[in-house]
Amino acid sequence: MKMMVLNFLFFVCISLLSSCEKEELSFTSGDIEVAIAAGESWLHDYPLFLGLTKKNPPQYAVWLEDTSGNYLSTVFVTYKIATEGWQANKGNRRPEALPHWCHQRGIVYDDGLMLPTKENPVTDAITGATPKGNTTIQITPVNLNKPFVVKAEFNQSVDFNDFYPKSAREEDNNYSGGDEGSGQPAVIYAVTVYPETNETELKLIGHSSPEGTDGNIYENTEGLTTAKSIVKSIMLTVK
Amino acid sequence: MTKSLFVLVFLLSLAGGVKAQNNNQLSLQFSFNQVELAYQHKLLSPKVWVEAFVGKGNQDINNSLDDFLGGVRIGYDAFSNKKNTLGISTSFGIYVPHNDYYTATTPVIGAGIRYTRFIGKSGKHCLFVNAGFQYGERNYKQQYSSEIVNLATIGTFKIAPLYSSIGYGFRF
Repeated sequence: MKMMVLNFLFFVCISLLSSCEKEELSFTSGDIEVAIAAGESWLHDYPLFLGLTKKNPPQYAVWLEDTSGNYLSTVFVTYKIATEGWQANKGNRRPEALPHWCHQRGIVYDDGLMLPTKENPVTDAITGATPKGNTTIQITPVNLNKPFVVKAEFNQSVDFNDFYPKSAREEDNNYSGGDEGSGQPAVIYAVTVYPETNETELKLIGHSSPEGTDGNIYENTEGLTTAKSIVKSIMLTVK
Repeated sequence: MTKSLFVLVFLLSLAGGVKAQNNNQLSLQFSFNQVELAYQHKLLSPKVWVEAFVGKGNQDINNSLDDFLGGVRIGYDAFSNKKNTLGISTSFGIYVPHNDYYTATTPVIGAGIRYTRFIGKSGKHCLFVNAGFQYGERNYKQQYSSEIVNLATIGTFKIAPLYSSIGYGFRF
């Protein structure tokens, strides 16, 4: 019996050792590194029950467009919006989450919304859990002519402020989906990558529709507070 | 792999069945994100035990109770009387997330306390409560290729550091 226990312990040790390989990105010349640095508001208190909260990271997407604004390819999109993986959302598909990405992508689903569904999730990009902090994405162009545009859209749920309050009504311009809605709208960053670009930074170019009813970029960001610090910086480096 | 470990625990339990009474325990444990089946055997002294466990978890991206976990705990019953036991334990194991997006077999270590309350005159049945800390973190690589670009990124899978569970045990 003791031998069996020792054998089992040995098996567990081997399993532990064999699962400790380190994963790294290896860049070659021409590869593009997109380094997203988390800002002060990367994690936001999401209310659970009895006053308890959970630190939630944002939903976001990174994608490529040509310089005419035509969508080319999604690079990364977070799991919940890519798969309709929301929990306890009471049927709310959350069109206010990342409306600019949804509209640029341009795929209309059965219910008329441009949001991926459980049945038809995003399959043409990396879908992953939202990192709890800084993250890096490697883009290796294959048939991608410069110049092109890299865009990123970030949103925190329920980050209400005075300009986008929880109490806003559906007919108001600052309505963002109700009690469990977006609060401040999604923020959009972009940069154009030219043939001569070595290193550059994605800049805040505006925010999305608070309610997610259109895919426009609203350049006036005066009503945004913590949404501006979801991201500290997004650096793009051509290797 | 899941099946073979369940079989291993079953065989261990059969092998232990021929030993002295109450040296062995089969138990079922529940926490808010895990279910475990465990076989415990007293080793070296009546106060020291080793427990092999396998189970299902729900800690990865897809929010389904379909991850695999397994490992061993070594425990010491620090205080005990006929009806109650309070012990400490340390654990070593693996956690294998199961989803369509990444693989990240993650080593896990932990330490905790266990309070056990024996039921009935024979003490063959017991209820217990576990609480403790565990650490398991693993980076994984995700890749995607299309006609336009090849993409890669590194993600991190981390198990919840604090755990608590309740369980039922049958001693033999």
